[in-house]
Amino acid sequence: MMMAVDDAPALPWRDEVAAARKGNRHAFEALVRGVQRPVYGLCLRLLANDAEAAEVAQETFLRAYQALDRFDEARPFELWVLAIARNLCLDLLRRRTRARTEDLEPMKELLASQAPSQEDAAVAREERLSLEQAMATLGAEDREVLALYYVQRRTTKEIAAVMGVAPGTIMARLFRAREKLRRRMQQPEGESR
Amino acid sequence: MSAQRCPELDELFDAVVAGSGDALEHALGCEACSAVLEEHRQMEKDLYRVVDPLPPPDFVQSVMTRVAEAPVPLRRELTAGFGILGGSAALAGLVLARDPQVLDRVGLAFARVLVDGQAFVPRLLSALVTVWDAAGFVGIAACSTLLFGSLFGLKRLSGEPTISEA
Repeated sequence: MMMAVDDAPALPWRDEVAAARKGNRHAFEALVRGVQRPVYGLCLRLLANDAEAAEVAQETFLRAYQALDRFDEARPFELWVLAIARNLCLDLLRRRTRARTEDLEPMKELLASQAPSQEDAAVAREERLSLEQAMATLGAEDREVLALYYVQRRTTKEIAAVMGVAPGTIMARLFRAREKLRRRMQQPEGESR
Repeated sequence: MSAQRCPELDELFDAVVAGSGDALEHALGCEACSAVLEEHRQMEKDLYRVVDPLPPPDFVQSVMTRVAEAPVPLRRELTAGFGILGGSAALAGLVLARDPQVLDRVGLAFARVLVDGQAFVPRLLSALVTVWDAAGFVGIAACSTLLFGSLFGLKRLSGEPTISEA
C-alpha cells in the first residue's frame, strides 16, 4: 500500500538528515528551508491563524530535530515533518474551547494566493480569494485534504501517509470536501453554512 | 434529463473514481448530475491554482534559535560519546596490532606512573597544604573557579557553532 512512498527513487534529504543527526545544525537548517513552506502552509490552513501557524510550524521543526534519530530515512522527510505538524495542529484545535469564527475574517487576506506569476488576471485572483475564503470555512479535515492534494500536489498515498489513513479513502474524502466547498461557494455572500 | 432518480452524490463520486457504474451512466444522460460534475471539474482547476502562503521572513532564523536553545537529545550525546570511545579503542587496537612491543612499553609506562604516583600523591597533598597556608580559602576558590571555568569553556568550544557564527 505504501510502495510509492517507500520506493521514492530520490532521497535528497538523506545526507542532510545524516549530518543533522550528528548535530550539524547547518544541515538541519537546510532541511527546514526545504520544507518550511508546505509545513507552514498546512499549519495555516488547519489553524486559520497566522501567529499560531508560525508557532506550531516552529514547534514542528523543533520536535523533528529532537526526534531525528527515530526518523526512517527511507521515507520522505517532508511527509514525516508534515505528519508532525498535522498532529500538533490537531492537538491545538482540540484544545481550542472557544469558537474561532471571528478569526476567519483576517484569513481572507492571509490566505490570498501568493502565486508570483505576472499574468494572473485580477478576476482569477478574486475567484481564488473567494475560493480560499470558502475553504477557510470548512472543517479541519476537509481543509487538510484539499490543501495537501490541490495546493501541495501530493498523491493520495502521500496524503494517506501524512494523515495516517488508508490511501483508498483519500479520493472519497476529497470528493466530500469538494462537494462541501461547492455548496459553500453557492451560498449567498455573508451566509456561512 | 434522465428519467431515473438521481443517485446520491457519494454513489456518483464512487462511480467517477471507479470510472464506471450505474451512477456514472446516469450522470452522462442527466443534466443536473452532469452540471454537478462539471462544477467539480471547474473547482478542481481553481483549487490547483491556489498556492501555499510564504512563512514569515524570519521563520527559519526563529526555528534555528529554538533548536540552538533546545538541549541536545540524550541519545545523540550517548551516540557521540560511545563513538569517540569506540574510535579510540579501535585506534589503540590498530597501533597494538602493528607493533606488539608497544604493549610492553605501555606496561612499563603504566608501572612507572604507578610508582611515580605513589610519590606524587603525598607531594600533591603537601602542595595543597602549602597553597592553603599561603592563600587560604580565597586562593583555593579562585583556582577552582579557573579550573571549572576552563572546563566549561572547553565543553562549549567542542559543541556546534551557534547560529550567529553561521
